[in-house]
Amino acid sequence: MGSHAEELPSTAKESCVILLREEVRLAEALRLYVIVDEAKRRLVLKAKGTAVREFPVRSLDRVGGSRERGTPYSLLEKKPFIEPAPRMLPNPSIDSRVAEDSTPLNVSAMPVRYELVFTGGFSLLVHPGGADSPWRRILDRMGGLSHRVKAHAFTWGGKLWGEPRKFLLLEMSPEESQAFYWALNPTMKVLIRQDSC
Amino acid sequence: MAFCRRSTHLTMSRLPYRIQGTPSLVKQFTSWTIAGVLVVTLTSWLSAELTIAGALPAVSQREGAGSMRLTAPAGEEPGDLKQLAPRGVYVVVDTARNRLYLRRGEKTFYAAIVSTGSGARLIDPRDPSQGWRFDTPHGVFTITSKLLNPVWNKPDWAFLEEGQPVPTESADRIESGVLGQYALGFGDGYFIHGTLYTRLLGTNVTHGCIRLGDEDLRHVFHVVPIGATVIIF
Repeated sequence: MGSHAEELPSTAKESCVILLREEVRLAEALRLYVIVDEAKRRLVLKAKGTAVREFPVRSLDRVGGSRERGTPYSLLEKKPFIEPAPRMLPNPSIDSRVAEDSTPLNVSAMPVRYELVFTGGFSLLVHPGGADSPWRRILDRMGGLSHRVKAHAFTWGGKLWGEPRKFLLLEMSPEESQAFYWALNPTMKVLIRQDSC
Repeated sequence: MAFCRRSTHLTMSRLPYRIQGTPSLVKQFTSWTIAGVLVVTLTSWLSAELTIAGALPAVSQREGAGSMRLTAPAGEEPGDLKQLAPRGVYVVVDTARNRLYLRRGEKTFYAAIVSTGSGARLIDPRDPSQGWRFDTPHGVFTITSKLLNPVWNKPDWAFLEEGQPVPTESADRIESGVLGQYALGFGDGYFIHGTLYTRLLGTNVTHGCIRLGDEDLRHVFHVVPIGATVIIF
């Protein structure tokens, strides 16, 4: 992976062309995809080349070096810190509740801290930030610290085991973090835009 | 922007040996370090736990949360990408916020409150290893049909959910008046249609279809043509 990255053009303009060419391929596939825009600190959910939702990112850090330019990563697994509980509809034979009134699974039940594992040893580690309460902010920072420790540990471990790992640490507001988790589909593809195109 | 920050080293394995015979200041520092590591572990768990507990149940509260921009920055896409963009009117459905938007190009010209899939599961009492999950599908779709005064051909789960036997005659599955005056199909049995449960608009309660209020449904039905793109996320 690393040697492949070195062969690619290094100028920002060329990398933008490569990325946009790859995005055209994704847009033609009639599927939702995500652009991680590092320069503008945002995640952009797109379909057919059109942005349908932007998720602002409060802070963004790379661990494990830069990613290959224009390489789409496919989502393999969503690993929440706490798994959202599945919602079961009542069984009419034992429960008299009306199904319409059962508690739905909504975005507020989604986790705020999670890892998104992609192909190529790449992971997005998302944690919340920007709370009003100072205590809350301290807790969030400690959550972010544990992600940072994990990213470094796995990066070093990956080097030892010959399986390179790369991480992007994202701090998002709790609402945006939950909405992003909700919007992600299995096998959804992500493109990383490192330069301001 | 500095991306490569120094990592935090947390080496604990040799600490007990160093504590013996060391000055009290060093002991205190070591103890606080260990305590700090424990606090970090505990509070990071609490952090996620508290945020989930402090969820935002009401749609009106969610509406104001976060900032949403639906338009892509001008001039960002190359010619090829713009050619792939939906032509004419198209529909965007945000299942997290339960909102439907009508857009033309990068402009949103209509917004409506909807109900989308509950994500709930129903186990088939006839075979507990089988069941249904009621999600609104995410992805890119096309309006394939437009129906006036649609009737509902109730699937098995609709009967099982109510504790009723599944009818053998297909005529017994037909129910009229529950889907509103109009319905727009976008494939695989999914529809944008009306609802009797207008109080539940804005929440995730459906079996996968997208429910609209009467006025919004009328507008959407008349504005969105067959062949229009539907983007659901």
